[in-house]
Amino acid sequence: MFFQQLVEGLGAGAGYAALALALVLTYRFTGIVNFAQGELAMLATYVAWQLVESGMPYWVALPVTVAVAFAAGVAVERTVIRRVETGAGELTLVVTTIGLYVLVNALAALVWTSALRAFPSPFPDAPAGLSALGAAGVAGLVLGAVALVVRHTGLGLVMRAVAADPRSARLAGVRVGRVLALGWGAAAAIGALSGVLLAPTLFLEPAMMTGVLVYSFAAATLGGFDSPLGAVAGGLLVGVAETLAGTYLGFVGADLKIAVPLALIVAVLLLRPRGLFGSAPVERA
Amino acid sequence: MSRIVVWAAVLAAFVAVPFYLEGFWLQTGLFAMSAAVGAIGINLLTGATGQLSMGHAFFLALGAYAYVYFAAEPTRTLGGLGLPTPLAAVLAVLLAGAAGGLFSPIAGRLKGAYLGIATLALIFGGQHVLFNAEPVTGGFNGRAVPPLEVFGFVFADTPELVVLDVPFGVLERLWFLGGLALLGSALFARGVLRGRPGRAMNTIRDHEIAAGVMGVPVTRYRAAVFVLSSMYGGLAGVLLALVFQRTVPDYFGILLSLDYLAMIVIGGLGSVGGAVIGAAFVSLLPQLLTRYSDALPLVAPPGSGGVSPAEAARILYGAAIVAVVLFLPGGLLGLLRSLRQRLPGLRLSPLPTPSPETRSSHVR
Repeated sequence: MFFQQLVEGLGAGAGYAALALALVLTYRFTGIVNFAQGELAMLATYVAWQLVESGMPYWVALPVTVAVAFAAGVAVERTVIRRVETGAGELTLVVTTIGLYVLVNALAALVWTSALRAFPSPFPDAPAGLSALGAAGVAGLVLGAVALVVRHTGLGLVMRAVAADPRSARLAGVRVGRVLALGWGAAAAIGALSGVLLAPTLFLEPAMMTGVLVYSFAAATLGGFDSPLGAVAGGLLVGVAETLAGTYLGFVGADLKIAVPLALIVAVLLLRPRGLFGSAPVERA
Repeated sequence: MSRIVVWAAVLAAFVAVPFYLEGFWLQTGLFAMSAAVGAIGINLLTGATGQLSMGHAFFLALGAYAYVYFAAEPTRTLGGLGLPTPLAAVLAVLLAGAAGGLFSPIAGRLKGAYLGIATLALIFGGQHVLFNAEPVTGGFNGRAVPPLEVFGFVFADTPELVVLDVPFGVLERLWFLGGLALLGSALFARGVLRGRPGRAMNTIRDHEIAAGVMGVPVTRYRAAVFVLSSMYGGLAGVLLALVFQRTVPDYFGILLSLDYLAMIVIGGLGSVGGAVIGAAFVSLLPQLLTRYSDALPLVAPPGSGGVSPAEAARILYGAAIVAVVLFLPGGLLGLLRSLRQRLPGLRLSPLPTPSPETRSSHVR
């Protein structure tokens, strides 16, 4: 029983971890807390559903979806975010993403209606425990791939340079705009994965990612908003904590589960605002 | 002089509205007024001080439900204190402020988007309580709101009241109360913004460290503005409850909080006028679309399978937020101001024109 709950928590945590990773990537590159990240993931999940529905095999539809999400992320950065990311205050940026949130949500409701839809599982024949482990494995693979690219390639070096100081990077000859677009694209692609991982259990609907976004914020805050490793660790931790609290703490039950990540957020922000793996901000006046 | 004329005209129009317009428009207008009160509150916090709050709907809910609980007579299933209704209204606003005070240790220490994330906790926790604390909130179905009664004058349809051949029902009566509440809230917020506190708030928003160096107690200010803004939310909630005449938990969700953020961005961040314009825009848009949906292309009446007015309104204002952020950094209020500057005949008050030096200092 305990083991089963643990595995289930890991499965859900994998989805949260992927979205948290997307949030952290966006934040690292552009300094934006993207409230629309979950909605972009939801949109991508609908694309995947549409593809599978029209007869495409699951494992073909998945990469196509990720590619579409990547393109969409790049497009959003190039058309909307780019105009506000330099010079505008943090608030303007956040509000822009909130506008995107409302817009994307309404568009999805418009195209696909707000009916609940069943989404195919990646491992239809496997028992629940195994497919949860599979989801956690996918999240681990993605983190590994991201870490490899960021640490050991020329592209990764450029990306880190832009994240550290866009102005110096530009002076050194880096095409900062392209790297930022790439960052948004990568974040959207990873977010899409999160949507696809979670859709079989959550069912597909326009409001699907609202709760997930809260969990992912909790995960990102817990791990430190600028640490990809922290995001994944935080996501898995939140998933497990939520599932175990829902099962073993009588007063929490099924409908107060959402309070677990929220309590985590508040506690972490008060006690250790930089998170478990994050770095403390230093500001020169 | 011309200012007085304009304000007199606005006042006359305001008084005339209940005599000419039907209930639908009065209700829409009252929603807009209550939204304007709430939007002024969040504009003090988010627009003027730079503190993002996603929890405004929670304080509206608190105001609305506290009023109902304080004012209602207890029944077999539902609790209530049966206090005099004006007292209940005041206590409800104070309770919202006290709740803001409880959250203020967090609100004082966190800034910007981080506060936004933390305030999500209020929304989800609050909704859980609204749905489950049935003796107080009535659960999923909500509860009826007792009408306000001031010195024997009841804000309800009975007893009948006819003024100049127009029957004055609940909406007509509340119209004036809402106007007064909005005026009071607007004047108070204007005083805060134009005085020393307003300068301090803007400095915190623009540069926290500089504010601290200049002697602004940053943490205390952030906490205090949070409390003030939650009291505005509470007042908006009381008004909303009186207009709705029923409180339902579903309404006070994350989308309502986003609505309030949308209002101040569309209207104009950091000013009272911006909050009011934005509140009017966001509250009127869905109503107008519903009302005239048959005349618009692509928009179909609800349930007929096309784009429903509610969906059309959401898309439109999601697009409006993005468009305003991209093209109108000052919001609708900023647009009005620049129009006024370009048309000298319309100028109501002389605006300071930037001198060449200050202008060039903005060019980077």
